[in-house]
Amino acid sequence: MGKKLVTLKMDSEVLDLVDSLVGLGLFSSRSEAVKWLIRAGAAGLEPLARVARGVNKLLELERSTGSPAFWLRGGVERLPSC
Amino acid sequence: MSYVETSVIVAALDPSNPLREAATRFLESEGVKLVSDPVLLDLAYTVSGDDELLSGIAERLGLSRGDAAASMIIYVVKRLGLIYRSARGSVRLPLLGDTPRPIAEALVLAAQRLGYRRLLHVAYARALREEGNPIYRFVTLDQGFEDARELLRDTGIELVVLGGSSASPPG
Repeated sequence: MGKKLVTLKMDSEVLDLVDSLVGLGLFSSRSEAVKWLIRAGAAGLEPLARVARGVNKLLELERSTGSPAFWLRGGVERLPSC
Repeated sequence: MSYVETSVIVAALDPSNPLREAATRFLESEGVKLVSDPVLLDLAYTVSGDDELLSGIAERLGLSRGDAAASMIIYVVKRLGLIYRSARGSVRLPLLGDTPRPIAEALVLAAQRLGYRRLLHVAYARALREEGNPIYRFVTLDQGFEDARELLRDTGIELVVLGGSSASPPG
């Protein structure tokens, strides 16, 4: 996995947390701590990412065929009648 | 700005619906078209009610049926250029305390006997309007909403029923 240098500004409260984690010896550097925190956050977003990929695939499907990705045949009749 | 009821959206994606053209023409017309929580719930019900469709899309996307259903609903909203907005305000009711504004509206309107689904749509449209969204039209294919015409007009929203009665859901 390639690595790239990223410069980012952080809220001082978050940076305090990062420094605390480093100070407690959980990570060897700010960089290690931030990488871990971002990975943990991204993992929590995975269900949303799956759905986002699904939406994009449906939009791609429509672009490639020129018609909707699916039809809702008989859909109005299936709406709840209550 | 128009509040779009689900029947318009579903008809636009049903090649066999006689009102598809009218629905599509409206959806492609100028103006902001708003949908809210009841529309998403209706779409979830519609999508999950067609087992073959949902399974096919889930397989094609390589997703679980739940993730596929969510993807399909968001795709429909995005594809048709609809804006999703939820009513965020609340109303303090006796004994109940803070209650979401659309639910408070629905409690007040319940005596009109619109039926559960229609009641929710009308309550959300009114609540969204009261929260400052300039909704001036409620657009549907369902003639059953005629019973709510005055309730909508009370808050400055005009009911627009596209086409005839053939596309109205039963009930």
